[in-house]
Amino acid sequence: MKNCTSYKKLFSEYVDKTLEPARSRDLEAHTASCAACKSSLDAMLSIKRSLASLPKIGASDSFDAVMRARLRQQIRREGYRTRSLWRLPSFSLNFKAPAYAVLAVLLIFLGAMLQKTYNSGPQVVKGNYQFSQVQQALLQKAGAIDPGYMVIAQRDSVNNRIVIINYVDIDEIAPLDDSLQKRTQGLIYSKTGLPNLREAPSRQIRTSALQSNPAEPRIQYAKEYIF
Amino acid sequence: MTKNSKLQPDISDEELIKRFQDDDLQAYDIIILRYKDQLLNFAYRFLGNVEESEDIVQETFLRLWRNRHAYRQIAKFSTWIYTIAGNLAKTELRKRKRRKVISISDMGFEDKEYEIEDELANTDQDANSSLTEKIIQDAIDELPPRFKEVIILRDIQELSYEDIGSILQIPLGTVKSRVNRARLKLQSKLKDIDTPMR
Repeated sequence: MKNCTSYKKLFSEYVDKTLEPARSRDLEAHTASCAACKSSLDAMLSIKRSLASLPKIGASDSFDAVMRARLRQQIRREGYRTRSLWRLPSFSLNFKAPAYAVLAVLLIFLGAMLQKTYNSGPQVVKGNYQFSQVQQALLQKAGAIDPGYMVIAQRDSVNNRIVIINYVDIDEIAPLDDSLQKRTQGLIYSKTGLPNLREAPSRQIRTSALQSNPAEPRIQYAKEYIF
Repeated sequence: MTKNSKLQPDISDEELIKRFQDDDLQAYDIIILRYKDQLLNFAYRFLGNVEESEDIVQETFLRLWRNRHAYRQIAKFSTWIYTIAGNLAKTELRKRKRRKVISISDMGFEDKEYEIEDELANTDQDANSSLTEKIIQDAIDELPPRFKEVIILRDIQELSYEDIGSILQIPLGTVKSRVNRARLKLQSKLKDIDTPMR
């Protein structure tokens, strides 16, 4: 004859409805005459229902953007090549709308900065440089060109060549919680090697500083390229 | 396009991972859509913290990216990805435990102030679901990890015993007995409250 401990071992399978019918009937017969086991079995059923009805949480608004940024970092680390990083997954339906909104603002902002509309694929930003020259200079400096690079290039008028002052990945300089305005200021300008540019609040000041920089009299102007 | 159609339910997980192994990034996107919420809830019930849980889920998907070629069709994809997430969550728990030990041991005697909440004080007249949820979550948190993981997988994620066995890499009999013991332990911790939640 089974004791209560033996019956307790069957509780789980009983509440899951996976216990064989004969053993279920045996257990039911026992609980009909054992108040302690009946109470314990009822409690297990109740808790199982409670656990199943615990509220489900949803991902935060920033989940997809953070995921995307982390994935980009991962891709960059492993040197994975896609035809375009813009083709990376968007992760959720919810991400699409804000992503397009952010992209739209980015395009407007960059458009204002560069006086051009950003299109996918390599583009020559308004200026006098040959795109191929910039590309070649960047290849020499960076070893590779990834989609999403922003390049600050200058013309060395004496040697008649393009000098890459700096190149950055747009995503790398885009902390997720900051505004786009903040994203494109400071970080791009902080690595140009030129003085007083770290805090430059606008492209005009930066350009002005470049033009008036006595240490680099050969610099005529600077252009930014988006790859 | 509805969310359901975006999830492409007619394509199996195994087919998706195969496509992803062939560099189909859209397949990776769909996998994330399918598993994001369920892994998040799994991690959340394990850790009790949304931010940490999101971090765990993101890391899980990154590991999926990195190790996509390590997956073999002999295992169900769902159990594979749950194994990754579960291992990360357990590691996080261990780290947290170490941090807690260091934190308390670093405190001077005078610094030790403990405020014990009387969580059961209002349950008689106001058994609101959020309080009950907190009590249940606290009881889950108090379970040893090996019981905690089976109770979450079985009763919250509602996975089969077979899948739980695959995820935890333990025999089916062990899963059943562990689930039973976990439920009895939880029951013992929750004996003072009147469940279920509604």
